[in-house]
Amino acid sequence: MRESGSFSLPKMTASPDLQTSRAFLLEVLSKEILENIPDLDERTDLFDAGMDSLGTMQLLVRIEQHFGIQLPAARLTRENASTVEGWASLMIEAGQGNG
Amino acid sequence: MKADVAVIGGGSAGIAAAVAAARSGAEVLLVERNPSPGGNACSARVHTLCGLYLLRKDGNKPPAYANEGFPREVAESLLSSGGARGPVRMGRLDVLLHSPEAFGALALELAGKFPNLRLLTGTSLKQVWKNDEGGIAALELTTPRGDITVDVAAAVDTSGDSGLAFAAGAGTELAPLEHLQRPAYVLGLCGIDPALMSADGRLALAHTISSAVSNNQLPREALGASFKEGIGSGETWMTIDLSAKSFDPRNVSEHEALMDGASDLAARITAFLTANVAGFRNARIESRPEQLGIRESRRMAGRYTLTGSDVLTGRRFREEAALSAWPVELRKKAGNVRLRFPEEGRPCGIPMDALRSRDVPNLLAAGRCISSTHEAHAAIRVIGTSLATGEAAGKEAARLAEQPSRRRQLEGVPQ
Repeated sequence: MRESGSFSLPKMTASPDLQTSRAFLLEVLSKEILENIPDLDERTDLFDAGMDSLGTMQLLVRIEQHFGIQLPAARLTRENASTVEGWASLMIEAGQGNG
Repeated sequence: MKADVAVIGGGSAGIAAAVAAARSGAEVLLVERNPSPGGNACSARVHTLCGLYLLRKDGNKPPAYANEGFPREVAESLLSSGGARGPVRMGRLDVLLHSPEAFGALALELAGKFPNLRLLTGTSLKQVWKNDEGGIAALELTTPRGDITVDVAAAVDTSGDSGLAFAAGAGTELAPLEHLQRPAYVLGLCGIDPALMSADGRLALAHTISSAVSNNQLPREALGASFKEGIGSGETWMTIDLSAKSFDPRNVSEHEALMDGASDLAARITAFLTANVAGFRNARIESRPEQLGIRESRRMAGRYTLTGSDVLTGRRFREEAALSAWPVELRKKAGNVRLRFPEEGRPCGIPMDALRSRDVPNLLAAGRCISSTHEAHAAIRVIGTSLATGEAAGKEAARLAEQPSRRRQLEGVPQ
């Protein structure tokens, strides 16, 4: 059974754009994954904010559920995964690959 | 049989309490239901000692012990015998990686070190006898060789689920089962490429597992799995946070069923990774736990109940048992850890009154049993802090046992 997410936008089938990706990531991270981070933005260091491998798996599954895309494994590095900006770029890359 | 101090539960807090009471000169009886002492840090294969060090913002400054005394002594013994490595930095936290086997060996060594400390393993509490003042007068224990009754002057509940407090009719408290911190199943693996435990390697593993879940190759429960390096090369621990929503940690018969399911899940994850990840090709399961890693269960009601706000504001008290230096670590759902850090990383004092039973005058608690709310418990439950509250409870129990009225009582009870 899939858990219902709090992200309010309808499920997307097309590749996400930068703005949609950012909004999705910020909402899922702040509501479902990380403990309340008052000033979470695109450049916050997510690992400093408490992101760990469990949170990473949750986020990957939510992205797959919502947009139907799987991020490229080789590009999911500490550097790319440490900010919302980085995750958003990976999402766009994955969406283009799929599209 | 007689003892000045009985300690029920031979985990981290119990060992600390028994050793501290023995060092204070008390005749001590340490009771452990498993065949050997050590608790979570050994039998559940918990492999990091958390809460040993003060929080620090600047990772370049050297870590400092939150509690000198027994916690430091344990950390240093493990380090000097090669049974621990670190401290290592994990996010904003410092932890000591340890070998569960070495922790068990140290627990056994400490329990055997004092002529006035007697360890009874494979032994459980059957019944508590009270005196006229409502204190604990005697404990009836079921040992492998039959039941015995032990007259005691003071007792410490380090059972993890406050079984002694409950049996003594003292107030206890338990959060709703569905809110309890999720229990964990921990498995030791060897033969894993150490590069997989680097930041990038762990992300790759996370990607592999989450993709397998999305593609229905692994069950959703696999999202509770995480990996940590051990102290030896290629030694890796897999911890699975279990969803187990209606699990009641007080009910020992439920543990076995949960263990079986978790063991199957762990085997499936290991087999999947061995087949699909190059660095896992030579992985072997080396060590299975003897018990579940229970994070939260029933607590004793104390004269003071530590709150989440005490922890988060770094509140200090007049008479303190120990310092708590771990964030509020909430694991309400398997696969989700949320850390709430105290203001400026300040440690919070744990008052002695959180260790004293509200209802039974010669009863103390330590470790997971101390009086705290669900939120505060999520910070104070860790092993480093349990070693410190255990030490404080042991000293206090020995002091109580020394009081002339309790001495008379102990001598006066017919054998």
